Amino acid sequence: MLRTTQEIDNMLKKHDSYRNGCLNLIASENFASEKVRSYLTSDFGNRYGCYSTMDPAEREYTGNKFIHQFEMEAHELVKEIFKAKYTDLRPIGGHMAGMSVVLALLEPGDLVIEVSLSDWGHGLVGPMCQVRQFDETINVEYMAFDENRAVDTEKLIEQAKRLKPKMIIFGGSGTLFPEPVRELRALADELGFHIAYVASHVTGLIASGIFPNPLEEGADIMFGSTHKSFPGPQGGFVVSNDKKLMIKVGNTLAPSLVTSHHLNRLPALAASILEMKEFGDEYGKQVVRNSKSLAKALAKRGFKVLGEGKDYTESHLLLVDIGEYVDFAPAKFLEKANILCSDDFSGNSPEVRIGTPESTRRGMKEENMEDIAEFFKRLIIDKEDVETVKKDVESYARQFTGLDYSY
Amino acid sequence: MKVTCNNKTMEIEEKITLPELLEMLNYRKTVAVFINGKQLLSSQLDGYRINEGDQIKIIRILGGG
Ligand SMILES: Cc1ncc(COP(=O)(O)O)c(C=O)c1O
Repeated sequence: MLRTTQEIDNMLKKHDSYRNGCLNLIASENFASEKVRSYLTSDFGNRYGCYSTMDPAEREYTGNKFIHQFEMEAHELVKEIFKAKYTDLRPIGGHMAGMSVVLALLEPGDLVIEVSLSDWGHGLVGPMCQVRQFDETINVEYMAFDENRAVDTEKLIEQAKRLKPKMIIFGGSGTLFPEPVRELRALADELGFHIAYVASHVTGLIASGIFPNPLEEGADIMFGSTHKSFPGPQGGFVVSNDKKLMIKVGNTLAPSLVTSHHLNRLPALAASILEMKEFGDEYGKQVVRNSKSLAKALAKRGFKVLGEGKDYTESHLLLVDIGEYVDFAPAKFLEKANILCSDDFSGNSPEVRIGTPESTRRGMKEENMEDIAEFFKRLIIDKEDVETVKKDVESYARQFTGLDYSY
Repeated sequence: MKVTCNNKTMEIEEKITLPELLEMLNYRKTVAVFINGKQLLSSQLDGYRINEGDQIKIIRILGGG
């Protein structure tokens, strides 16, 4: 049990030192700048800013004069960076943002088509349906992927025509390529379903302009996290150009899903958006270049990298099937060598998900991807002693403790 | 008896429950289980008895995607 704040400090120091010696390739994490982090301690974090949807000036609590002003200014930044007319920043994470959209826009008995967990979907609706309340209200089907791990557009169109869903949710936790939002727009109008986009993973790439903006492609609503490829504080957002949808979402969020919306996120988010406005273009391009380089470097060493037919990836991550070499989920094994990444959900043929946002922010470029690929080869193909590789990984990671693309 | 689990055929004891199978296969985290294409509710996981020939699909849910 912790007894003094000194002990707290020591633990945090240990954590920082450990993480600086790790190669962080977790696609859903990032390294926020000192500036962004510093704002998380502001007084906003102790205040209640609850407000009525579409009428934020109507704050339930008193004392919110500047909080209100700040939140509205933050809205302007979010709307600008995602090219949207409306936003709601009350969801405290991407999952809550998604829940608010699903619960607000669907009626009992409606059908949703989303990305299956086995195709690296986040499974917004699927896992919800493990609970009877949802299972008996929302129906879910999954979209098909092609041999390159891109959404199979033809099959999806056929599926939508056949099943007449009320919503299609694009996006997931293993997005390699842009989804066919544009291709589904006409059908959505014809059949009357909503196109929603979970941007959690690719938020930073959308903001940087390197990944198509789903709203511009025809999505009705987009939501996600602010801390994955987007290097902000942990948090969530919803954006749309449709006021009616935003009213429904807002009324579902508050007061059903959230009351205190962790206001200390907002100054930190605003700072990270300013960073992205200045450095996002360069950052996004380097992230994708690094992903492609790492994919090629791994393929060259004998790994089966998915998406080969489409140059492996257009995002901040790559997927590698290592079933040829091991029959266990690899993340915990790689952690022993200070390499952090995520393994797949099925335990079938082990797949590993490797993300490049954090290593890119810490200064790595294409040539470093060769070194990373070599670590994977030594561990997984050559089966070299883990402790030996760990030492090398640690000293390598410690060379990259700076931070680019930030104030 | 024979069942298929994540595309692999396996021989398991009769009367085995789903939690026992999950333990045997080292699934310690939250999972979604599909039996013959239908997802089980979490409240059904505990008591579910596996039948001969069941097609079982176990998917680990990565919290925080
Ligand atoms: C596609 C997708 N949606 C939603 C989430 C949940 O976001 P958060 O962790 O911010 O709640 C994740 C991952 O965390 C994700 O990968």
